[in-house]
Amino acid sequence: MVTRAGKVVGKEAIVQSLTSLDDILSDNAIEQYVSRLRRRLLPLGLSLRTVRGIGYLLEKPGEPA
Amino acid sequence: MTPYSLRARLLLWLLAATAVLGLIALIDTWREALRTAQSVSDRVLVGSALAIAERVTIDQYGGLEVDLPFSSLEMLASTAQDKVFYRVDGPVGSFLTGYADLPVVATNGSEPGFADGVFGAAPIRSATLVREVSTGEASIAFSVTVAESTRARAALARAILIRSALRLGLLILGVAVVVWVAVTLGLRPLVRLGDRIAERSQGDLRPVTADTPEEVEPLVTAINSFMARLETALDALRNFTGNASHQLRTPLAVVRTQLALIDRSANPDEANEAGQKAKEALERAERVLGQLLVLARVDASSGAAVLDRVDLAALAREVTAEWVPAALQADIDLGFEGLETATVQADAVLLAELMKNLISNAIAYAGRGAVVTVRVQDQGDMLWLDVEDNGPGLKPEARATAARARHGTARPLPSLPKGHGSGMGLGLAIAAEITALFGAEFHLDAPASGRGLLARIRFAKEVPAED
Repeated sequence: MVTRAGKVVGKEAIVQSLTSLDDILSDNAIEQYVSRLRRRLLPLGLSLRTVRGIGYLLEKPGEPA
Repeated sequence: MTPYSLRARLLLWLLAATAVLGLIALIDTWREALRTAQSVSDRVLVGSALAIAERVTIDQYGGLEVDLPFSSLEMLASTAQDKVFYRVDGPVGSFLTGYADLPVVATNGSEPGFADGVFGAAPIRSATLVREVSTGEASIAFSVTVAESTRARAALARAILIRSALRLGLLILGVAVVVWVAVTLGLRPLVRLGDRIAERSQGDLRPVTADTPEEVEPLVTAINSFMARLETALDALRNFTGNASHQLRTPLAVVRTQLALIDRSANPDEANEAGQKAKEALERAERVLGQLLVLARVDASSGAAVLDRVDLAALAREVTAEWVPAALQADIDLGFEGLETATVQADAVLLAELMKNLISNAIAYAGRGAVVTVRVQDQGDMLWLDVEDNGPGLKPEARATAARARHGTARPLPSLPKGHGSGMGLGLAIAAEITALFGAEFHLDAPASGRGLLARIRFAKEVPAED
């Protein structure tokens, strides 16, 4: 997400980068991870947006919220 | 293609046909002439042989003698100075007088026999006649053979042939003249029609009215139909050019005004604000130019686009994702919903261009705080790509005009709706054009909520390929 800041990252891409072939990661689990990540990024002035039906977008500092 | 002459072609065909038929007639005439000449010649030969036969008598020793009459050979004399030969055999098989080398023709009883042959170096026609003379106690059979060279016969046949050939030549000449005149008269209505069209002013596309024969009526109808389509296309082109130039001029005028403001501004804040507005206007102009280029590219692909199997849903998600940052900048919530995968027949690059135009159009005109949704859904044999926003939308008549596809010059260009900012009409025109290229359908509706604009593309569903 950090390397692709400012661009939308699909949920599938997140799942693929976090799991091996044998693991199953549910949508709920992803949302929990994202929620935790949001809390940690907030003090740094970074926000993680949900893009409906596609995935998430890490907004670069200074970009409109 | 080199233009050909109708007159020359007609002339060629008719002359060729006349020449072939004439040649057949000429060959028949030649054979008939030969038969006639031969029949005349044979009668004279038999007459001459009979005259000789009548003068064959029994001499004092019981043998045969001939007192050859001059008149018998005189009747064979001709203007062609043919040579005459004879021989008398009596009894049959025993040469009596005349030319001993002259061949005797086989006969059938009392009927004379005829034959063609060569005597010396000359071609001849011979006739042999068998008769009997009585001694009082017995009868002695004798034969008379008369032959004549065939110069006269050939000359007669040649004369008949030459006359026939001359008649044929005159006939062909007559046909040529008749065809020339008939084609000239027959083509006059076409020449008149051409003159009527040529004398018109450049912009005169009214239907052609000319006094033409019924064979030319389909041509006149086709020309009039073409002119009507051309006029519609020219009207649409004028309309399109007017709108496109308006959409380019407006942002450029804004740039000029803002630059003038920067020159006159007293404080840096004012200058910054004017600079920002000029930048935005330049971006709009850039977008319109880009869209015009896409339109030109779609026109170039028209009729030559190679369609392939494309995953509509995957491409829609990808293009939507690309536009999310721009949507966020415009304070618009852009998202995707619908199928995971959906295969259609399309060109992936042009399909992405179509989606880009619909999404950018929605972002540009839905207004701040609006929600834009890209949707791919399944409905029976059809797949729908929807781009829906909850902005101000378009009036029904403007929707109908904007959805009309431009296709070459055969169909009208869409009249670009004014008053919705720059780029609106072009984006929808591009979408309509690309849709037509794919053989799909483009609709502009109002969303179920009644507010905003719903752009819909209907594709025929493709069965996914098996890997």
